[in-house]
Amino acid sequence: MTVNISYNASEKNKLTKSFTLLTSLTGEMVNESSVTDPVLLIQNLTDSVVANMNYAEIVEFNRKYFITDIVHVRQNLYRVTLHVDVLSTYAEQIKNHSAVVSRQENKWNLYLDDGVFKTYQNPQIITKAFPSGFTTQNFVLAVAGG
Amino acid sequence: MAYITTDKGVITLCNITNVVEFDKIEDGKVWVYYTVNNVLSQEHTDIFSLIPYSRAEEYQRITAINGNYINAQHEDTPSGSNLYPYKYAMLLSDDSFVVHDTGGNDSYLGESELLLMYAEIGGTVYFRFRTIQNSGGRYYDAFDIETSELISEWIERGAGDPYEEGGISGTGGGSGTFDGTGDAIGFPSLPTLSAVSTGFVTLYAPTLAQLNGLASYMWSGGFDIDTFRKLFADPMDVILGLSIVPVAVPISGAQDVKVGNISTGISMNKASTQYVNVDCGSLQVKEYWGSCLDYAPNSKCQIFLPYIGTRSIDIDEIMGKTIHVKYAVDILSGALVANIMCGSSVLYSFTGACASSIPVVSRDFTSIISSAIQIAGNIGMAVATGGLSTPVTAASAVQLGVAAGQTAMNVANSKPSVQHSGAVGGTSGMLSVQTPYLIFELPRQSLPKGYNTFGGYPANITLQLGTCSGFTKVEMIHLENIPATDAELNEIETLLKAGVIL
Repeated sequence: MTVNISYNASEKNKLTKSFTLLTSLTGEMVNESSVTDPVLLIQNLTDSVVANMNYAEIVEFNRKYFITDIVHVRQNLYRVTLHVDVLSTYAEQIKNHSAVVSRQENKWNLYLDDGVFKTYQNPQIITKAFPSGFTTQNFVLAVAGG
Repeated sequence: MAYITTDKGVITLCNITNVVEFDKIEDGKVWVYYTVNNVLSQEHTDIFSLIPYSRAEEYQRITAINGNYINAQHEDTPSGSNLYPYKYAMLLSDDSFVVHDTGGNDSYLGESELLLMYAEIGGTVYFRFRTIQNSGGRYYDAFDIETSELISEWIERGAGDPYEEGGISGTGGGSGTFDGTGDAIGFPSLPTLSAVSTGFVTLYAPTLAQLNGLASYMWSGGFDIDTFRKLFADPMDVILGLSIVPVAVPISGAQDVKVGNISTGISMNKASTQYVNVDCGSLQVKEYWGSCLDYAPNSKCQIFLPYIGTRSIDIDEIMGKTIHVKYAVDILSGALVANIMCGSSVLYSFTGACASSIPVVSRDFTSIISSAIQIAGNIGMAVATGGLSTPVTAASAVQLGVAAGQTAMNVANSKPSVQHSGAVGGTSGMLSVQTPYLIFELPRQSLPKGYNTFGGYPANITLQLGTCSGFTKVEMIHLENIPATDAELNEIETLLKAGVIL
């Protein structure tokens, strides 16, 4: 079994992550393990790897993982808890899906009420005059008869 | 078939338990083979005529077709010691109903009856016989299309869903025309009949010098009271009114002014018509934001109209359109109407008064003063409305987890509506602004830098996620063809709906 330990610099909710490989490990599964939430016992990790590792990939499980916990068991032995990163693992399949998108960074319709867009308490007042109005004054005398 | 025709129109047989075969439908009748005492007869007999279902005549109801079952329903009516099915109906594939009337109390029928339930779906005929028990109540019958398995539920009379009599829900809608064409409503024409046409009233458009001359004449001794036609007790009663109007009076030529048919020797221009249009021109109202912020309730609009005052108009009705204001003025009474055309139709009409009366006799002056006092009482009145949402106070603004500031809608709704003017008719109108103008109240945005990268803007668009970039929040999605566990699929959907970065 091959486990790639990495440092992930991307946002947790980013579909395709940018991560830096710190070390690649090989070993055997001794006991049963969850495929989505495996727990690994890893020996001989360097201090720099321990300090920076937050991401992993188990090639045989075909999944990428967040490192959710690192426990120092004893000298040179760490227990590392993983949780599957479903977005990165299934990124290509997700991209093939169509969906009703409620909010988007670049494709939007601003005529929909945002609901969270904020405005200041002091609105702007604009007056616009019509081109013409009442420009003259005249007497009108009403007399009975013709 | 287990039925025969009787003089009552009933087709029933006794003690028939075997299902027979359907033969054909011909001449509106169903033909089948039936057995009697387990002996198959090859005679044909008509069952009943296919007639259109009429709910007004039929008190039974057909329950909905669901899955493989076709439900028919009938109700027994008591008839002495024996209870026989009275009526039932069956749904056919062409949405017509077959109504079968057993005729009620028929001793020939014995204690049991066989009723045919028939339906034709997709060109295949399904039928079923069943035995009706003689008791009051209601049968809910159904039979499976594939297996002909009969399912029958006996419901005592009065039992069942108490609301069922009110009708069962079904599908509806979808028949809209989507026809958005409308009719243009143009400016009204001026009236064709006017006081000047009657001969009882003459309107003049005098100059100041001509008025001075008339006043001198009326107060002079040259007025011969003996020749004054006895139509008036006071010669001044001939003068119906003198006013100043803010419009150009159309004239038909000069004429000698006659008082009680007595020539005064004063020549004045005579008004040719009682009604005059004043065209104030058009304004193009353009969106400021190009978004929902240009419309109610985020933005508001009022219009000031000379000789009327300030009125609220719906900004949704004018945004993006050409607004045209045209007055129709009655120079005799001073009444006027301002018609506002939004786009191609007149959507607003406001009334006012523009004549400033000049007192000729004492009673004129008194009424003028009292009117002015009444109008003055309305000027400057502020009407506070709105306040639909609680304003954000300083205390709540610093509450942990509550973001400061209000959304555009809350800001708009928390503002009171203030009246910008009172009544400005008559003389008050002449002292006010003489040109109409629009007053827009537009929101002022509070936009954090990079707002759309953090939370996006509203979309409500079906998009392929692979074509999107940046922050994306999904409202609805069907996840399929993903080799993930059920928990993983749930997590994918949860994350997409919370917002992801593509």
